[in-house]
Amino acid sequence: MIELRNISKTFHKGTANEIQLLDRFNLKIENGEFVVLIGSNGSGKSTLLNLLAGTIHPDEGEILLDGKDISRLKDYERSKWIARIFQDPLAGTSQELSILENFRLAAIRGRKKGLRIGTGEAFRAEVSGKIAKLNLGLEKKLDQNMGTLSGGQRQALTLLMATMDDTRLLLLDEPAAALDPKTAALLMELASEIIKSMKLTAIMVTHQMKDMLKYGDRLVQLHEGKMIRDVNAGQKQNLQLNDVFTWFGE
Amino acid sequence: MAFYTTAILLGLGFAAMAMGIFISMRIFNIPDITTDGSFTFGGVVTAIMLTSGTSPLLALLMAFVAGSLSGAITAFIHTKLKIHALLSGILVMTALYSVNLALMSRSNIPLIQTPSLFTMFNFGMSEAATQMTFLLFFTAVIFLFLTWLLKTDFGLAMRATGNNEKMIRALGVHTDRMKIIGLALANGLTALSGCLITQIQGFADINMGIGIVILGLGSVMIGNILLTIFKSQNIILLLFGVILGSIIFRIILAFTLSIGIDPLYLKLVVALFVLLVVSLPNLRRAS
Repeated sequence: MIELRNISKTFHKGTANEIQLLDRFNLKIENGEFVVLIGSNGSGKSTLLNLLAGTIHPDEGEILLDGKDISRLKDYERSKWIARIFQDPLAGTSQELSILENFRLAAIRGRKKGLRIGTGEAFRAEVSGKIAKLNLGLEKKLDQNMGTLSGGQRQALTLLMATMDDTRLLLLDEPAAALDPKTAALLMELASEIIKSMKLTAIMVTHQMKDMLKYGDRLVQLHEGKMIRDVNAGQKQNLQLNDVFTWFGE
Repeated sequence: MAFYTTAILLGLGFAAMAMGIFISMRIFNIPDITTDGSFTFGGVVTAIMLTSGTSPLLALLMAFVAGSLSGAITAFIHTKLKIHALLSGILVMTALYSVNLALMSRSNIPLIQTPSLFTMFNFGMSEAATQMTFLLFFTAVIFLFLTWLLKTDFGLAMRATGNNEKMIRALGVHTDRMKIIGLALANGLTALSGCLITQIQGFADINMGIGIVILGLGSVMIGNILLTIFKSQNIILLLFGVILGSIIFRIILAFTLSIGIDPLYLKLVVALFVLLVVSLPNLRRAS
């Protein structure tokens, strides 16, 4: 379970540009829950994701992961349990490393990167098996540099990479926003399938209204740093596109 | 002919430094110019230790330690105090000038009749043959070591750090520490070159490091050209190209001198040559 308790975060404190993005914010997410996070620009969605990932830290409040306070841990320390998919489809992979090498790093996300060569035959077979399920033919190109692939392919691989190690929380920051509509749809399906089949706890930010309805089993709307709507799975099923549309007009 | 033999010897001697630049500039994407200082540092440590009768192998080790320390300090300033990498390097390089001068307490230490790596591993061969054999062996060892290192989990994390810092942090790598280790390794290798060159030329000099970084950069660029020729992105091939680049560089300089160009213009030739190598890919694209 992931829990945010009384989280406050202000940027540029004490200057004319001071902006309080979260004010005593609370949120509890059960294990296996897939939360879709929505809200207009500046509502605090990205701040929330960054706080969870540990790239920024709260001024006040606590972040608990399965009861353990992780508020002060740095991003690379939290990555043991938290995997992240960025909006930029190229951001989740290293272009100068091969597909196989990228997967190797993902497979030891929570472990020490030591002086052993971990890209042997057994590992290759494992990765090849996983990638084959994408039906993109990439399992034959394991030694090809990531940089030679398209954004869509790289984002799909990034998703798979997130499942290579023990993942207790998956953060998705508009994972399909930079992709063409067809690829975006495929990617969202893939993400949803992975989250369901692996029973992952996930938080996804999206601006796509149809995605808000289609995916996830809980919908949370932020506005000016506050949670103004929390829709559970039952209520969510009955939602219409129009309902969501009006929320943003309020 | 001896002219070119010397050029190859020097090329091999500078190869470790070129591989160091390859690590800082190519792997980590950090413009590190501590090099000028750490190269001299390696030479100075070597000269002092050899003239005081220490084993050449220990001198080699200490040169590496000295260089690593310089690189680690640069990376520390860069990552922890958030100073631009270029400035961090300049600061350490400048400071090292005084350190080197203080250590030598004069501007030059000649090595006359002192034991060296080459007297140690001379198996009854001529001087040039001994040097060639040793340097080939030495360069091969470093090449193989780096080839292995770059394939390990640590090496992969190292490469990803220079390439996509955001991603590798999300994958659990403390990138600041990684950069400190990386620049330490790069400058350690550079100092090894300083150690070797001092023994090849028979003296350490306070100015021996001036403009060294450009030699390394040029070598890496030649390595890049090799990749273009083979249409490959293989990092090992690039590393091999860097060594080759270091030797080619020296041969070109030797050639320049042999056709009678005044040594005064040597640095100018170096600068023009590097400019040519660096701009070659762009020139080809433009035409």
